[in-house]
Amino acid sequence: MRKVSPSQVNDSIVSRMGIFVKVLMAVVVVLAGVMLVVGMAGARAEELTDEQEGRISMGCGGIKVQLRTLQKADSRMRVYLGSKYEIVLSNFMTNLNLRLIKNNLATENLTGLQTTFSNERERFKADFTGYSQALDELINVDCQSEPQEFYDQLVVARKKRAEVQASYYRMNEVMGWHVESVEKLRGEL
Amino acid sequence: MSDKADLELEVPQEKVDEKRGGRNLMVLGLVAVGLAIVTSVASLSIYYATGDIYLDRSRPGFISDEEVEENKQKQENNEKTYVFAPDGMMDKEVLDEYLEEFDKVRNEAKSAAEAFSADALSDDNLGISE
Repeated sequence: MRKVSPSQVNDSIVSRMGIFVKVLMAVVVVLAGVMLVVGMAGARAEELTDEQEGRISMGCGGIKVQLRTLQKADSRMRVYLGSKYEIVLSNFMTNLNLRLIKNNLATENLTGLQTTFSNERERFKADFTGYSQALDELINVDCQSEPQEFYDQLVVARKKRAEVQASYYRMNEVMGWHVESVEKLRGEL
Repeated sequence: MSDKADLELEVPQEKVDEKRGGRNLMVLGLVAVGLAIVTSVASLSIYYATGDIYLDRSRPGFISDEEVEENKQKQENNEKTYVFAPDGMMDKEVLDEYLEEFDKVRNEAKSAAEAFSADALSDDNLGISE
């Protein structure tokens, strides 16, 4: 028979459990810290008047419905535009540059525009994600009891939406440059 | 006199093995639960961070049955989308055709002129302004 002492048995259990529990606690603390920092970041909008606060509180239900409708419409638009940009990049720009290379007509301008378009598309996706997060947070704020906080978040959502719109205009601009470059190439043939 | 804390017990080997097995099973269970929590949190974080949740139209109530039908028709139309061939000769006629088809897609993208306009979140539109 093997002789063991209760203290040895207990120390073994405690040491194993202790390490695991400490690791788990550390992970939880880190995650909580990250969430707290992210939550604290935000813009402080102008102070609302009593009347504005009243309007927000009273019309909270209707405002939320409008925001949810907007959220769905924006998602549909994002998917629609995303498919168009994918077609432009895959079916047009990439194939055109490949064909130009095979015909020894490749131009640095058109190749560069393909890269620019691809980068701007990624930026559009990132901007939309940021806007969607802001809109989601806005919808989750209780505008009836916290109208000021709701308005603060509304200002953030507006700013993010403007970034998405700017991204959309940039995409149109790059497509315009692409057309100009192709027309110039056509003139040289 | 023997110290109670260091009192040695005569424990049968079978009992020791049994206790060790039980402890190991408990540790295994806790580790499995911990891993499940960590991986679930990580996957949800990635789901939010990449923005897929905002494009996930399978979310409950996010898309109506009419829209599903509409999307099916649109997908069928998209299958007939023009693809510029990456092979072949290059001349003015080819580029004319390219520009014509490109403009169609470009105009479709530009037709969303009011996309993400500021009006949707304006004070007037939300009924906040005085």
